[in-house]
Amino acid sequence: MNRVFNPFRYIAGGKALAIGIVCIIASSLMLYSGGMIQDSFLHIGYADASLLKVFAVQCLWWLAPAMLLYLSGLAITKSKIRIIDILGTTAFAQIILLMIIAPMLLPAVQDSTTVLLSSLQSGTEPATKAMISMIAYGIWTTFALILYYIWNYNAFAVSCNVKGTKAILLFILVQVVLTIVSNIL
Amino acid sequence: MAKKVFPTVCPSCGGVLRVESLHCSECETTVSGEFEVHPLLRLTAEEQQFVLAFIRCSGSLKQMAADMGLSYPTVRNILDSIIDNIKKLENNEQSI
Repeated sequence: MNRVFNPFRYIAGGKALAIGIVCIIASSLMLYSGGMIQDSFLHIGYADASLLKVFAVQCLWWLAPAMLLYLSGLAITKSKIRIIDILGTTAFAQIILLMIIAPMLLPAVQDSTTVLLSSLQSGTEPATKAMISMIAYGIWTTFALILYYIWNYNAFAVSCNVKGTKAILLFILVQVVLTIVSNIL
Repeated sequence: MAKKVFPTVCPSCGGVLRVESLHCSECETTVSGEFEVHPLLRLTAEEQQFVLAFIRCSGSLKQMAADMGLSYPTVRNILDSIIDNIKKLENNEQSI
């Protein structure tokens, strides 16, 4: 169970970074093929963007929190921390984004989105099948997002050797700042 | 028979234990006095195992991480917590 919630006890550094970069490339390809982009922190929208732009944005939403967490770690840790560990573990945590993006490419989810959007525009009752598949996707995404935050907190805690209230508050602060700033930009 | 664990704290009050006598099982000689227990001996069994493994790996945390199947920062964090414990034990010793 520990491996599910805290894989960083077992993997970090260069190995995690290599796997993470592969996941970032994979998520960029998925988003690009679906005509999507991560337009703000943990928010995916439809856009006509080049593959390079999609990849650059994916890297930005990995590196920005990683660097903020690294600086936060430096401020409160007593250990000698390595930047490769925080970069590796946070990159590895991007695996969770694949869990969110991959179902968005499924025809059932895409069709349901189209049905729901057209129902909202026309003011008609959406089809039950579309509703069920969107609720299922919503539950799945919520579960994935919770796991995303758990993994990222554990990436921060293991890489920077921090724990307790101070670490949790700093982690929440980084997430809130990123969400606000990314929505303003 | 279960392996006996060297006690480092008093089971009654939690105070630091000291050695009062040492016995030679070869010639039955007993040395009495009041001897302090080295901080390394006051670490838990797991911590002592970690210190031994650390020495066996010539202090290479990377090697230890590979041998233990753990990540480098996890091993470093365990070492840092042992360093913290040793500092606390040494401070306690000085304050006695």
